[in-house]
This record gives sequence, C-alpha cells and structure tokens, in this order.
Amino acid sequence: MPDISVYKTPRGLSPKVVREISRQKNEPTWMLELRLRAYGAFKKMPMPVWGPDISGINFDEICYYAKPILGKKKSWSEVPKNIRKTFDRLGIPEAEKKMLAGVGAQYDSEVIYQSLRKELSGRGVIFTNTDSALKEYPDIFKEYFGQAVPFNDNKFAALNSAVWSGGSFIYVPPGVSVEIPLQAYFRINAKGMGQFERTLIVADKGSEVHYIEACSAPLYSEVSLHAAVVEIFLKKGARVRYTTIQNWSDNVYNLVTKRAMVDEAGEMRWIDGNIGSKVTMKYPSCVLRGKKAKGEMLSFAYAGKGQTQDTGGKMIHLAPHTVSRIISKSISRQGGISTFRALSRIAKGAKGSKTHMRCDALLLDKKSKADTFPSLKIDEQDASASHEAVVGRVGSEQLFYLRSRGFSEKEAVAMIVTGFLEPIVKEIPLEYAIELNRLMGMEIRGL
Amino acid sequence: MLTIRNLHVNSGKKEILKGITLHIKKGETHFLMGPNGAGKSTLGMALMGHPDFDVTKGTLFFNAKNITRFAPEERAKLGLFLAFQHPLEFEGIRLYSFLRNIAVKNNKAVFLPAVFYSALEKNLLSLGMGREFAERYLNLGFSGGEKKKTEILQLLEAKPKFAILDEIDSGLDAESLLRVTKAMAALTRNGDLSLLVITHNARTAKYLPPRKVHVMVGGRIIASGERNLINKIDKHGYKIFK
Repeated sequence: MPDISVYKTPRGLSPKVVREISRQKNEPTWMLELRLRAYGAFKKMPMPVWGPDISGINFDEICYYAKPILGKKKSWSEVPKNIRKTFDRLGIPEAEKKMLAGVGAQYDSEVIYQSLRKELSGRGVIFTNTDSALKEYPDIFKEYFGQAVPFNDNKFAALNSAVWSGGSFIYVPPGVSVEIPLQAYFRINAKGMGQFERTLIVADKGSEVHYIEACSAPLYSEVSLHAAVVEIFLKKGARVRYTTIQNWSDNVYNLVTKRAMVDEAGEMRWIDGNIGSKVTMKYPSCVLRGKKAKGEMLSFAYAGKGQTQDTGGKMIHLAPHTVSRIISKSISRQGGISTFRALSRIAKGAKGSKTHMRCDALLLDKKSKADTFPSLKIDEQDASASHEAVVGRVGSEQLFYLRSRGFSEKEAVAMIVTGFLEPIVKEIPLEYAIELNRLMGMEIRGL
Repeated sequence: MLTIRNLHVNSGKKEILKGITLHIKKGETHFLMGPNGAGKSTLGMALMGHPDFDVTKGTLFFNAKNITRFAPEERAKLGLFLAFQHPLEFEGIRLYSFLRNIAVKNNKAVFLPAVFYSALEKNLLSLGMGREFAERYLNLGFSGGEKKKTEILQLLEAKPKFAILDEIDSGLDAESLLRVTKAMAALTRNGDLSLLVITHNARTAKYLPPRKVHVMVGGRIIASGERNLINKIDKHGYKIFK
C-alpha cells in the first residue's frame, strides 16, 4: 500500500508538533491551549506501573499526525481509488454502505468520507467527524469535550488530548431515536502511525442511539500505537449502545479510555470485542450519577500468540438505585494472555444499588494464560454486589463428543469457541456476528 | 458390517477389555448386557475411537476395512455412531444449527434451511419434544431423558450404518422409551442400520428385538445367545454366568 499522506508531522512529540497539528487544523486558541496543557501532563505522568508490559512503545518514533488528502470528500465516488480499494478489502459490501445511515471512515488520522442521511439531519441529529464538530458546533463541543475524560485522566488520555485527530461526533436531540446504527470504520495505514481519534457522543433527554466502530488493521512490522478517547453523555432517560469490534494487527498497542456519564434513568451499554493487537488495555466505564441509571459492559477478548488482552470495565455508582453489570468472556491460545480487570464502586448514599460482574475465560492450550482481577468497593450498606469468575479449558470429552459426530478436531474447537462467545456475539449486529464467527473460525483452523 | 477381533483396550495402564470378539451383520440388532463396571461403555468408546482408550491388541473391521487406528471423525464418516450414556452440554451451540451441521457433514447434501427445519420438526414431534428445543443450546439444562432424545435426533441426521446405543433407555419414561425404540426399530427393519444396544433394561427388547444378546463381565464376553438370555438375566442376575 503506497503511503499517500500529503502532510505529516515529523516523528516524535514536542510542543512544536502539537502547535503544528493545531495550526494544520485551523483550531481555536482554547483547543491549542488545552492540547499544550495535555502535552505537559503527558510528559509529567509516569507510565502505568500495573498491567501488561508496554515498555516497547517508543514515543519518539511515532508520527502523531498525517493528513491523507486535502479537504473532505462528499461522496464515495470522489474518494481516491487506492483508498477505496483499502475499504473494499475490508469487505464492506456496497449494499451495506448504502444501508448505513452514515459512514465515517477514518483513513490515517483524517476522516475522509462522511455521508449522513438527510432524514437524520432533518431530525436534528448531528453525526460528523470530531474535527468538523469543533468548527461547526463550537458551543456544544466546548461544553462536553474533556468533561468525562479530563486531559490529565491518565497518561494515554493526556497523549490523546494533546494530539487527537478524527473520530466521531454525535449529538441526538431530546426524544429522538436513531433506529439505524451509526457506524465508523477505522484503520491504521501509514507505517509507524499513531491513531489518536477522539469520539464524543451526547444523547439528550429520552433519546436513543447505537454507535458501532469496527476496526481492522493490516500488518506492519513497525510498532503502532492506538490511544483513543471516547466520551459519552447520557441525559435523563437516554439510551446509548456503543459496539466496538477490533482486529488490530499484532504489533499495535491499543490503549483506549472510554467513559460514559449517565444521568437519571439513562442506560449505557458497552459491547467491546478485542481480537488483535499486541497489547490491549481497555476498561470502558460508566459513571452512574443519576438515580436509576444503568450501566452494562459486555466484552469478549481473544489473545493469540504474543498477544495480551487486558480488558474489563469500571462501574461507578454515585446515585441511588443504580444498576450495573460487567460480563466478560476471553479466549487464550498459543501463549496468549487474557486478563480481566474490573472495578465496581458503590459510593455512600447510592442506596439500593446493585452490581454484578462475571468473567469466563477459556484456555485452548497449556501455554496460554488467564488472570482475573475483580474488585468491589462498596461504601453503602444498602447495596448488593456479586462477582463470579470461571477459568476453563476445552475438555477432551467435549472434543471427543463432537469428533464422534464427524467434525475434525479443529472444527470441534472452533465450534466450542464460537459457542462460548455466542451469548455475547448475539448482542452485536448480525453482519458483524457473521464476520466475527468467520474470523474466529479462521484463527482456530489456521493452527 | 462390524467385526471386532480379540480387542484389548487399556485405560491408562489398566486393561479394561480383555479380548472381545463380536460380529454384527447388516441390519442386525445386538444387545450387550452386564454388571456395572464390566467394560460395556469402554467398548462403545473404543469402537468410536476415543483417544484415551488404547487398543493394545486386536482389530476392528468395518465393512471389511481395518479401522482400528481411525480417528473418531473418520469413523463417523464411514457410518459409525455412538449415542452417549452421558451426553455432554454445550453452551452457545444451538441444537438446530448443530443438527444441521451434522446433516451437512454426513450427507454431503446442502439442505435449504426451511426444508431442513420442517424435517427436524417432524423428528422432534415423533420423539415427543417441543419445537422450542431447536433453539436451545445443545443439552444445556436438559433433563436426562431429553439428552437421550437429542442423541437420537443426532443419529437421525447423521444417518449412520452402525450405531452403539449406550444405555439410551436409562432416564427415559415409558412413553419416551417407546418413541425412541420405535424410531430405531423403523431404521433397523429396512436393514439401513445395525445396532449394538448397551442396556440393563429387559423391556427395551420388547420394542427393539435383538438378534443376539451378549453378556460382558470383567472385560470379557462370557456368554452369547438368543433373546431368551435376557429373561434369564432378569430372573437370576449375572451370577449364573460365573
């Protein structure tokens, strides 16, 4: 794939690079100032001392911003041919593209293709890339940006805040239900390119929206870094579902901060699937700050050779009668490491709140590993909390049973694995479920 | 059809089967009876090629083909089937799609989903099972009897030439037993299916009359005879063979 970026910042990070990114994007001063403060926080903050080894990231070698083509194209046919080809290779059928309400396709750091159905904009729904939103909707942007994930939340959130580019911006007005999922496709393409997209979703009172990001990346030998930030705000009674299916190439460090602020009776649902990458650290969280707010986190992870999936979730109960659930399934194979790390906190005063976490880990061989670190911090007497964790292996009796029906050993393992994931896979849209099952089947059969 | 010649089988270092010889012809039904721990289920597993049971001596022929070293799936492809005494549970695998996979695998035919489903519905009803079972996960939370019936559903899709039914009758109520044995009898009558029926239940013979009855004790077949052997066992137990 030729490198078609027309503008790139030099490798490495400095205030000069941060200024240049902001200048290229023609941003207001407040954003530049925020970026610089975030840069300062990033430089100051140490690398996390817990979790998997991420010392392989060389921040000086990463290119933090690249602009693939000038301007934004309006329709698919105007998108340059070799970029379209990349998307075709992702296997997005033409019919599906048309069916989608809008495709926000991220190529390198710039959103190059955005189409939004008229009926959606007619109902006041905003679905655009985050860079455009900063210019076109400055008030709402400024009100929410960085309010769920502050620039100094953690080292990688700070990095993202300093160099962010692209991502999706969604606003759904009160009472509006967006029936069709809004989707974006992400891809890391230029060598050694970082990807630092920023997504901001505001679901106003009683509104409903489902956002899907499906990521896939081609293989590169150089180390890549993906450090995204997703912020979601649910007003009273709003319902948001955020589905992620990621298949990063196995050299990518995938360190993402995702957080939703849920007001009264709001319902946030994260569905998070992690297949590729070298190391993934991701714990989507919900801050349940209004009474009767609900948070749910369903995740599945696949850790193959040389891969670490360190995933889980966080639920913070700040108001009475809030309910949360964290359900995780992981598969480890060929020495892969799956770690479940989850926290539920029920603050004093969050009376009648409930939290439950469950982790199922499936090990496909003796070399692989699964760890679970569930944590419950309950400061309220009138609350209930529970957790369960099961680590299992594919049993020889199960294999024999399936083989006696005519299935080969690999087919049998693939059946057990897809069956193991089914309770979560059935929650994701059909086209992705099929793709995912195919992918898992290929992973297992390609032993 | 199936010839077992001087079969010795180990589980770990322990010899379980100590020289089994049996010959079952096309369309025949044989009963295998014997006290608990005699090695009956081990024989079923060994015939199906369970990797934990080592054949240390002897040969297995299926339609004159030496299958002693065949993998379980290869045996299945040739037309062998084992209905398990203790069927396993599988979360996430729906009965409907599992049965369809078996049908596609073993018959090399591609069925239209609608055609397949209506055939499956008929099978379910003939076994006294509701349609809703098709959508459930394979054996997960099924009662003992329901699990036995899904073994038969699988058999009906696999269309084997030879099946081992390991205590298919245990856990089945009287009506279910009648339904299951009826389905099997229909297949054996046309000569499409040969059976080795492992059982403790004399009543099963009423619906599924055996051509021969074998008594296994301590890993050996110590008596073979006609159907009346079952009545003898029923009356006196196995001590008369010792």
